[in-house]
Parts: sequence; C-alpha cells; structure tokens
Amino acid sequence: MNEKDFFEKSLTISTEFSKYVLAHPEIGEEIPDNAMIVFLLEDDPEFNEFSIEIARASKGENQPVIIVKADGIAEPLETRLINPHLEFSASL
Amino acid sequence: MSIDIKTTTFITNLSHDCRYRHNHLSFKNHIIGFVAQIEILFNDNWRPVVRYDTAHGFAHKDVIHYSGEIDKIPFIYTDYADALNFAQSDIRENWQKYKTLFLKEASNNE
Repeated sequence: MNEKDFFEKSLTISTEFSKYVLAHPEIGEEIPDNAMIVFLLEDDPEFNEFSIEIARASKGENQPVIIVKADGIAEPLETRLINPHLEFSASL
Repeated sequence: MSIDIKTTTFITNLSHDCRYRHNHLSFKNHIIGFVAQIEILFNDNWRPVVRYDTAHGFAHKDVIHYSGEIDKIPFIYTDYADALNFAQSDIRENWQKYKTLFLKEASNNE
C-alpha cells in the first residue's frame, strides 16, 4: 500500500465513521475532544501497519487515542432497488 | 427543559503530514452544524488549509492562505448532512490542490 492509497482509504473511513457516529451518538459521547482516532481493519493488515506507524509519529503530547476496529468497508451502494425489471404496458 | 445537542470531535491521520479534523453538532440524529478541516504539518505545526463549516448560519468553504487570509466560498445546501457529504467529496477531489497552493505560498514568503 502506498501513501496515496492509504490517504484515500483513511478519508473514506473517516467520512463513514462520522456517519456512523451521527447514527449512533452514544459512540460519539465516548470520544474525548480532539482525540486521535486510529482505524484498524480486520481485512487489511497493510492498511493497519500504515495506520499505526503514522499514529505513533503524529500523536500529540497528552492527546487521547481511540482505536476503532472494523471488519472492513462495504462497497458503495449503487442503488437501493432490489432486482428491478422492465415491462411494457399496453393497458395503462 | 434541556435540549439534547450532542457534539463529536475527532482527528484522523490521512498521511504523515496531513490530517482530517471533524466536528459535528447533532440533535436527534440530525446534523445542525459541522466543521470538516484538512490540516498539513508545516514547520512542525499543524496548519489548516481548507475548512468546510456552518458558522455564520450557512454551509461554506474557507480556503486558508499561508498569510492567514481566508477565501470564503458558500455552497448551496440547506440540509447540513448533504453539505457535509459535499465537503467530504470536495476534500477527496481537491485536497492536493489546497496543500500545493499553501506550500507554494509558504515558499514564496520564506
């Protein structure tokens, strides 16, 4: 994994996490202000290696660190329709 | 009667020299305000280079110059959840441009 790939994935995870917190505000209450969030994905050890290395280098003095573990990231949803199909109608 | 407004703030690392700062205010799972900010590490200090927020009552983007001057650009979303989605999308598309602009201004001044 290169830095560009890590950047893209981190940004995606960050935005998805913000949506998750919005839907589950009780999670947000557990995060101290200005905490550094470190994401670890069960299905991406390469990402995790980058994540930890950068976190260690970037952590501020006395800055709280929260690890967020997830199984992975689902593919984006193209549509919410389930099995649509077309039919011509002569009667309507 | 108390109003249950929740605030969430966190920072995530995007690279060795770039990080994302996020803040949102929510009421009953609806966003009522947010800040989404990209910061770069410059001379051992974290400097914001672009910020999307809802201060002043409307969603807008602040492009922050090395001098401290700020270009304020409104964007037209009345739903703050949509505005935040747009902000995060704009970051993905343009973060490199904002970083390059900032560093160019910095080198012109030093």
